[in-house]
Amino acid sequence: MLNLDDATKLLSLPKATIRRWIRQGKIPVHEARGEYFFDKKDLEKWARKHNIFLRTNYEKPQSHPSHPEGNLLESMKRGGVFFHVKGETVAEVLKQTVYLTPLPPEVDKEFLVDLLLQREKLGSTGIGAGVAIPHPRYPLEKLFTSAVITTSFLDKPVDFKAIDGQPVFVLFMMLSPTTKLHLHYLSRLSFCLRNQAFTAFLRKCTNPEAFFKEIKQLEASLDGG
Amino acid sequence: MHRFFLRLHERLQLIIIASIVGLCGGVGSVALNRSLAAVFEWLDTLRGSWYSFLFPAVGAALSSIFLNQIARDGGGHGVPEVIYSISQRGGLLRFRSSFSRLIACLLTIASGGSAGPEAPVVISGASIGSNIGTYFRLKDRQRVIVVGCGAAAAIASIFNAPVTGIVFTLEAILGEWTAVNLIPVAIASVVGTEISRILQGNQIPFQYHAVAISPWNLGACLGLAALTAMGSVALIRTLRFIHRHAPKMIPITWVSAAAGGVLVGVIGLGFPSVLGEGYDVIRCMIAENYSASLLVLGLTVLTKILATSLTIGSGGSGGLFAPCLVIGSFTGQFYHRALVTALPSVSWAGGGYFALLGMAGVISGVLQAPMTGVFLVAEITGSYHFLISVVLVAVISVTVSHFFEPVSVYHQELVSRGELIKPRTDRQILSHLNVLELLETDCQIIHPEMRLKDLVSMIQHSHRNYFPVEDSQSGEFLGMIHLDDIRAYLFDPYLHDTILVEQVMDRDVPRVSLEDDLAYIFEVFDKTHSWSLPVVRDGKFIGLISKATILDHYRKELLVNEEI
Repeated sequence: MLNLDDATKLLSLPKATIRRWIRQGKIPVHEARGEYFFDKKDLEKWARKHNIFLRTNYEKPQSHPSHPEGNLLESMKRGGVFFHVKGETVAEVLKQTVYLTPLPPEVDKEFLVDLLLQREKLGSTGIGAGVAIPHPRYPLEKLFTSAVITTSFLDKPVDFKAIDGQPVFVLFMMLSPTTKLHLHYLSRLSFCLRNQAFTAFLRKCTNPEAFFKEIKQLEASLDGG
Repeated sequence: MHRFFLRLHERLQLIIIASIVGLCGGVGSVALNRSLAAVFEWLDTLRGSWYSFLFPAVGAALSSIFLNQIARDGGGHGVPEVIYSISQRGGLLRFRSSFSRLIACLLTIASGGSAGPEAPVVISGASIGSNIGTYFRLKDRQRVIVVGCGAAAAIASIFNAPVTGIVFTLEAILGEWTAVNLIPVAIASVVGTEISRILQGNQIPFQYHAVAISPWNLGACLGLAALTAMGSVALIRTLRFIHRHAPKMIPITWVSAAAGGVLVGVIGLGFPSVLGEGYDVIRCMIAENYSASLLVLGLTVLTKILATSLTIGSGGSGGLFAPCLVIGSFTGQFYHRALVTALPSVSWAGGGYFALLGMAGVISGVLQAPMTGVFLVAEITGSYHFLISVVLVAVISVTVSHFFEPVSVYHQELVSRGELIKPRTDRQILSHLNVLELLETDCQIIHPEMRLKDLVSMIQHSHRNYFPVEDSQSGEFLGMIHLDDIRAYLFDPYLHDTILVEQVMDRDVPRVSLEDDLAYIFEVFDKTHSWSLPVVRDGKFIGLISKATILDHYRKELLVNEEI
């Protein structure tokens, strides 16, 4: 037996509508001591007959957290930071970066490079100020459980055909299992890159510890509000 | 008893109630019929005297006083009230309507007023049905059907015509033919008929001796159909004219009813056959015992139309059914006489045949209900062998009169008040839904002195495109911001600090209130091309109403309305 509140949740309709339906005799109901009760089986039968959707477990649907958890620092540590990465062309530096990245053994590295190059063909991932964020076009669902960001400081700046025409000196390669996660990290990274002190720091950065420290600080200011 | 009853299956409940309603409706109509005959007979002894022309006036005045002052129920024929109640009040009718109309109409008709006992019987039956339905705690949807049962039983028992009762109810009262309606209505109709047969014998109201019908007669039907359609239109328009102007000329209802009665009495001096319900005249005509000149017949049709409009339009009480039949039969007789005079060599089927066809034609035309006309004539004569001609006349008469008067006489009042809501229409669903059920209250409220920056950070966490603006002190609703209005400034961070909400908000956004009906709200939506409107009560914002939510609810409403 369900009461009026249960039925409202089950049908996801306002109470006023259910009351009216009761008055008009459109919904099966029992009345006892001035209160309404619904037989769950009757209600389900009625809903099937009229093709009306019933929410089976009438908890509020688990809303997907619109902002996935996880911070930049973790995924950057997973990907690693590399200095003096060699290469003259986009393809060469990407290949280098992929081979440097600690990846699970089943990952086909050539294939991954290919994916990254396909994305570059659609439009450069060089976002300006000498920074590029190469990533595959589609999320790599099977390969990763969480995102991996590899940071490569290039030996020589490479022409990525970036928006502002500046040669790229640092790559942040992003590999993520879902689009949502990808966007999450992308928005965090772009927050950092908007900070001019950070981009100036990147040009001088020579060791991973200083880099991670800088990222940690920026993320703290992002989460702190 | 109650509890046992409530446990039964819904259809079985309805069948049981339909039988009870049929029983009561049948008894009611027999009672009215008997008392009408008795009072009419009693007054007949006085009818020869010089003052007899005042009878209709006294009767109409008494009936009007009784209805308005004592029973406090409206005058007129009253069927529109039943239809209104069915379409908007879930079939609720006052209990006193079950007898007040009967008494009022008894006074009007027995004194000579030109009206019929059917409509009062229908209202009485409907009201009995409604109250029995309420007693058994029926829901609106079922009560409506039971009201129809009462009407069906009344018509069926007064004419001793079960099928006519069913057809009339479905066609003119409920307005929809569905199996769910049909079964209880048919049962009530059958019970009602049987009651009247037990109480007053199974007699065919109008005995008609079948004659051979030559193809010539079928051709002549076309002309008769046109003539009956004219008669119907004339009756509808005269009635409407008097109904509109009588209250203006004489504001006191009972005086106006009396004045109408005097005029009817005067007409009655010249044409006594227009007085009362007029079934005796019809009986003579169909038995081929009536003879009058072409001129007298034609004038009788016109005076009957006038007398009926005067009686009912001025505030007397009674129905249009019987007058329609009288007008129809005189029209038929008139047409027959004209045919015989013009083409004496053809063998015409006789005055009775044409009188019957005329009855079907006028009933169909006035009520916009062809099947009612067909079955009524077939059943009251107990003869089906001229069915082809009846169908022909009824259908053509409806078509022609529909051209001039597209709305049935029962629906006119409701249509002019904008209250006719047919079952299973968009309007019905909209009239059921109300703003409160559709209100969305999960809105983020903003204040006029907020900067765009604050709004942008709010937008980040909101799933809505509309933001109501309230005065931060008084809480008064000031206007709305739609995402579209500020899109241009959103991506310019320089403006985030310089623009205030009050600079970009829409101040004269149309507002709706909780009491507005959805038809009006849709008008506003269409006019403003907006997707959401603010609902405001006492100057304060209480929620949004949006097209998307309405669609969601509308569809659910449609789904539960489906009969399976």
